[in-house]
Formats: sequence, C-alpha cells, structure tokens
Amino acid sequence: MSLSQETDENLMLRFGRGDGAAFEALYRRHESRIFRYLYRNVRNEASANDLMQEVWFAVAHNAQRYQPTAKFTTWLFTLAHHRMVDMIRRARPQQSLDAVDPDDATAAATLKDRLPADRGTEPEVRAQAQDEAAALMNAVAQLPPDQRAAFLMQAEGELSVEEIAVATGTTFETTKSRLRYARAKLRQLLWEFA
Amino acid sequence: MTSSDEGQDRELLQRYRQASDADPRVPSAAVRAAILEEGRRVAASLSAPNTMEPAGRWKSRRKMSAWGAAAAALLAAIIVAPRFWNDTSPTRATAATNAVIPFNQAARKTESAEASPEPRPVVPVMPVPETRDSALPPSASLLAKAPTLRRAVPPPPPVLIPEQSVEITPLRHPSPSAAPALPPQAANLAQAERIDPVSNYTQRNSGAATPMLSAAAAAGDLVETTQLLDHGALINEQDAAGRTPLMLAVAQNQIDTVRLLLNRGADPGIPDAHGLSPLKLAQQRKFDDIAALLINSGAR
Repeated sequence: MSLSQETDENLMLRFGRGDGAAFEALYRRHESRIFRYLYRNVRNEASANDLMQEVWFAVAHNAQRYQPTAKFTTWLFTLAHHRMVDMIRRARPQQSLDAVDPDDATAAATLKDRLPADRGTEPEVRAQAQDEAAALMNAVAQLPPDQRAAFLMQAEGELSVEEIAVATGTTFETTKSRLRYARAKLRQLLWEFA
Repeated sequence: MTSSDEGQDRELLQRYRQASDADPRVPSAAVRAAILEEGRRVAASLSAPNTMEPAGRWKSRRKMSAWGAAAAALLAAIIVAPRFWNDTSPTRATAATNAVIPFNQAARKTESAEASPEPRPVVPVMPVPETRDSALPPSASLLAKAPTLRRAVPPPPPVLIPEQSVEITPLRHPSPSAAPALPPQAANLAQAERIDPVSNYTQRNSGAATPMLSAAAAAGDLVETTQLLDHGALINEQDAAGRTPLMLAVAQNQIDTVRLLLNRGADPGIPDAHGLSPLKLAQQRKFDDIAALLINSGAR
C-alpha cells in the first residue's frame, strides 16, 4: 500500500517507527487545512507561519507517544488550537482575537483577486463568485473567537461536534451551541450580502 | 433544528469550503522546509534503536567510569595490601619465609634494605600443604594457599631471636670467592639484603621455614630450581615437617619438577615427619604419572 492510501493513523505510527516519508505524506495531506485554520483565526500570516511550525514540530516530537485512540485530525487540531491559544495569551493577553491586524486588514479584499477564474466562464459569474467568497471570509472573520474556532474546525478539519468539544476543551452542549450561533450569524451575513 | 436548517448548514459549509479551497494561501517555503527537515531528523533518530538520549549516554558513561574506578581501586588494594601485611605481621614472616636471621645480621639487613632502591625480584612463593595450615597464623595460611608466582616477598622485618635458636645449615661454599656466579634473581636479592647468598639458599630455622629450593620446587619453577641446585642448594633438605623439595613438588602435582629433582639425585624414599613418603602421597592424591615416575626411580 502506498503512502497516499494509508490512513492518517497508520502514517503516524509509521513515522513513530522512524519512517520520514510517512511524516512528509502526513504533512502534505494536512498542510493547507491546518494553515487555513490558523490563519483564519489569527488573521496574520507571520503568526500563522509561526504557529504552523510549532504545531508540526509538536507532531514530530510526540510521534512516539501517539496512540491511535482518536482520529489523527482531532489530535492535530487539538494541538493547533492549544498552540494558538497559548500564543495569543503570551503575545497579546489583553487583545481580542477579533482585533484586526492592520497589516492584514485587506486580506478579504485581496482574496477576491486570488480566486481562480475557472468557476465561471462569464465575467459576471466569476465576479459574483469572488464577491460571495470574499463576503463569506469577511463573515467568518467577524465571528466571536470561540464560535470561529469551532466553525473552522468543522469546516476545515471536518471534525464532529464531539471531536471539536475534545479539541477545544469544552462540553458537547457548549460546542453545539457555538456552532449553531456561528452558522446562524454567517447565514444572516450572507443573506445581507445577497 | 429543522431539516431546512440542516440543509442550509450543509450548503453553508459547502460554500465555505469552495471559497477556502480557492484560497491559495500556504505556509511560507522556509516554514515548510523547516518542518520537513525536523520530521526527517526525528525519523532518523527514531529509526536508530541504539541511539540514546544525551542524558542517558552521559549517565551510562558515568556509570562505566564509576565501575572502572572501583575496579582500579580493588586491583590496587589487592596489589598493595600484601606488602602491608608483610611489614606488620612478624609471625607471618617467620612462618612463610626463612628470613629469620641472627641478631647481628638483622641490623645489617635493615640498613641495606633501606638503602637499596632496586626493585625486588620475582620469586615463587611456596604453597604450604593444607595439613600444615592449621599450624600457621592466618596470614601465613592465606599466603600459603596462593598457588602462583607473585611479587617477591618483601624483606620480612628481622625477627630478633637468640643465636642459639637458629639452626644454620653448613655451607657448601664457605668462602664467597669459591662460590660460582649467582643467578640474576638470587644476585639481586643478595645484593639487596647483603647476606651470604649461598647460606641464603640453605639456611632455615627450626620453625616452619621454607627454603628457596622447596619454594621453587613446589611452584614448579624449573629454571629457579635448576639454578638453585646448580648453586649448591641441598636437594634433600627437609623442613620442620620433614618435607623435602621432592615431597612438596609431588604435593603440588609438579611432575616436571619431580622429574628434574629425581634426575638431579633427589631421594624419593625420604618420608616426612608423619612417615608419609612421596610415593604414598602421590598415590593418595591419584597422581598416577608422578607415582609411576617415583616407582621407576626406586621409591617404595
């Protein structure tokens, strides 16, 4: 079985036995979703890069202790969430996650320019799709931090409510409530945009 | 939550994922390279089963060093301790060597021993048969049970005893000028102690003295035995228990020495103080080859 067909858990176990290629395959598989989760939470590319390195170093250094009792993605997002909270508390204890980094305030606006053009052939369709994506990202950025983190875990990591509760250290009901409020707010924002 | 809400949630997630997948934002090349490099480094360390943590290696080295130091200390104690035993136990010296000398010689011997910087020669130490161990002091018994050659017994502290208690064997070479050249080891010893080398081969006291020939024979030292015989050592000299060098060589199963002594004229018929002959001793201990040798030499 090639590495691309292995489950995350098997790749992690292989890496724990010294298989460097398994680690690389695992990283390539989850690179984008973890980075986007970090970036959309901290909304600063440099901080997201720092966190990315911390998270994957932690993955590497804890490989021998990894036990496949839960999904690898749950463990990975747990690590990412804890690192992110630690960094925010350490660097900006008094600043909310909602404070927009002035260097990155145009992130949502510039996203429109980076969207691919193959989603529609007509210029009007393409412009509308870009506008909707930018509006959606703006709406996500406006969510409260806890709701945003829960929503991004669900949207990027495809974690279940139970897994999000484990990763964020909250109860199932609290997590369910946060997700419900997050989706409701996003729907409202998108409806207003439409 | 109604089914309509669930449908809207699914649609919302789908729209978000489409927008997110379209975002080409990725980690910087430097971060990616650092992560992958770290993964390779960790994998390499995990794949080496004998690789230990630095602290573990250090602990292991420290443990080895501690054992090495302990072993060195033990070895030093084994080497050095017997010298102190010899220097502090006059009874041991009396029992294990024949170095008890008259009072007037003792003074000269002490002076020369202090003045002589030369290392002491290696000579065989005669193992005393077990039957005699009970008669010896504990330290002498320990020495007697040592079967191998060891460092020369340091000059025992002179035991000052009255002249009349010392029995001196008549010298074969009463004049030093008439004596042949000494073997090197004996010469060194003689020079160190400044006593008559010939008399040193043969003198003994009335205690459990051990002439050098008996010591060499018991140790199976053919060279030393030959040299001592060449220089006049008495081949049938008996110790206090009546044991000849031949008897002691038999007791230690030194068949080559037995053969040498017989060829040099040793009398196989001299029994010890208990009436035990060399042949009987060899037969008791099942030394069949030695027994045959003794029988061929006329022993009964």
